[in-house]
Amino acid sequence: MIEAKNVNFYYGDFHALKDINMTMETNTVTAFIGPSGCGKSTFLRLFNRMNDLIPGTRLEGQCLIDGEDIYAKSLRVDDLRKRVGMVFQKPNPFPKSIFENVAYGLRVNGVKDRAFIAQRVEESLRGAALWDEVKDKLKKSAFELSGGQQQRLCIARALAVSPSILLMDEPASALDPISTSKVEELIHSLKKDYTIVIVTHNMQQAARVSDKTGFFMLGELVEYNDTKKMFLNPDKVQTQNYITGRFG
Amino acid sequence: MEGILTVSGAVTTITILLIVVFLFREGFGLFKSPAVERGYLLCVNGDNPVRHLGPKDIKEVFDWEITDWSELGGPNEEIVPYRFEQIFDVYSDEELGEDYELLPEKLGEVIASTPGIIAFIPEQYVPEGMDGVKILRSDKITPADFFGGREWLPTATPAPQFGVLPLIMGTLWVSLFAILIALPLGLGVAIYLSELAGERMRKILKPTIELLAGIPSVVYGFFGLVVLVPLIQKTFSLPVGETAFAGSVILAIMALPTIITVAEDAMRNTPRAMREASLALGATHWQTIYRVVIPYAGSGISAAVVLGIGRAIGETMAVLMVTGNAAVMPHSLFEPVRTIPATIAAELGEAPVGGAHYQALFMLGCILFVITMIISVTAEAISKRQSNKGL
Repeated sequence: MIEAKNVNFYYGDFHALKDINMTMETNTVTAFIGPSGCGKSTFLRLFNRMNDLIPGTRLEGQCLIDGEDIYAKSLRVDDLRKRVGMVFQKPNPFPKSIFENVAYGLRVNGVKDRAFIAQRVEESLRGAALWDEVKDKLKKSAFELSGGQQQRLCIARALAVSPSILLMDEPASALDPISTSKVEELIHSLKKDYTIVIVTHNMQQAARVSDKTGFFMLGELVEYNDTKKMFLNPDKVQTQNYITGRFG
Repeated sequence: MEGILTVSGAVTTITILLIVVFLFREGFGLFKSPAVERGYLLCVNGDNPVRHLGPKDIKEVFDWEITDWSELGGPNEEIVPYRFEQIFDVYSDEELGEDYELLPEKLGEVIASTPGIIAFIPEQYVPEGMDGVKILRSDKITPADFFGGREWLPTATPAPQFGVLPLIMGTLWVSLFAILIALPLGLGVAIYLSELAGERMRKILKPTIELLAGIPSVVYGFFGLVVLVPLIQKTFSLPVGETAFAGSVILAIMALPTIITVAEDAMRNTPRAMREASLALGATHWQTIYRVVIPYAGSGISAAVVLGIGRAIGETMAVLMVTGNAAVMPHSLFEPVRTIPATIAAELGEAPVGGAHYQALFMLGCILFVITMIISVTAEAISKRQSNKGL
């Protein structure tokens, strides 16, 4: 379970997230929608503390995962990030072989057992529905794959360290429709093992893959509801306007 | 406009090629030069079967290191080295004639009457055609003499020695240790600047380091001479402080700004997406640096290394000032050595144009050229192999 309590976030003087409260249940898919610059990616990146990398930022309020404050001083960031995997907007494989890309997370965790690594790599690639396409060229550079394959490779890479939560920041926005539908199918099948939070610009995508949807605007969480209700009969008029494209 | 660019490109290329051709043509002239000093000849007794001698043999004969003709394939006869000035000990100026016109005759008598003699005589006084006198055909200087020779005595008489090994070894020792010092330091600072230093620290350090690259090398040399050399002498209690080690340290300091700047730029060019991907997988900052940033910046780092080595090998002035310039084979870091560029700079002024010495210096230039070329080709190959792997 992921919780945000009274979260305020600042880039320098800019107030990017305003007093957000939200709870995401285990083994569900939650989608964040909203116009560009509304803070949905910023909010997503709070949960694996990626925002720590940006100088001059400040957080108020609490972020909890399974009741534990992930901004507590005693918590090690790299341990947190092993539990909370992330897939980025643009596929960003390492300039290494396909195999080494997936094995990376294990190697930085100090795993040396070759047989175990090989097994985990295969499981992860199968989990990301990529195994059949790459099993004969694991030693080839990851850059030889197509964009959609690269993105699934990045998902496999995230799965390899066995996280419980998967954060996806517009994972299909740089992909063609066929690759997109493959990634969406994948999200669907991953739901039973992972808690997934996905940021998307694509309303249909949110409707197709998610159980619950949060609508962000100007740093505020306008509405957070079951996806079905959200798209059929939203509580707020702003949500209605945005979803139907009447948003100005 | 296009025409102007084409012409200027062509002119530049041709100029560079011409410089290279000039360098090699002058350099290879060395192997057409006789082993004996220009303007002089060697004569032996007419009964002596030895017909020619190499530069090393000649030098050793006149240094009394070879004392018997049997060592040179001649008869069992003691060698009597004879410099033509010795004639003045026996004959007065009157006896030799007003314009020394009788000098060749007298020399001829000496040579004919001494079976073991080898005489070193200016060409115009050679007793040509006299009985009992044989002019020794002098060998040309061979590439083996040049590249395999262990002595660099370009002004020795009667046979100058152009053995380039001590100079090559001196250059390699000084450059190699300079790189061994500069590389870990430079990469360390580059990593610190690009990954660890705060923004304000970086803003102070980076321009300061870049400023160091602009200081003329003679200033570094002066600093080395005044500060470093006495320090080394005292620390290691050496007879002299001007050593290969002093040269290495100065070169390392000089190569550092280049290595740091180039390597740091390469590391900072690692896309943010790569760092984030690594960190998001639970890698620590350090793991991200050495598993992602450094491999990603690999070609930039090897460029930094090559530029550093290039600077070290070609550097002249500072090295000339602190290495002691003894053209001997180095046995340890703590002995004076002499590098190729330092030799060229120090000797070109006193080498007669077109002479063997002058050509030998050009040949040194050719060696430098080849070394530099090998390094840059290697670097090119390394970075190409990396980019093929997708690195």
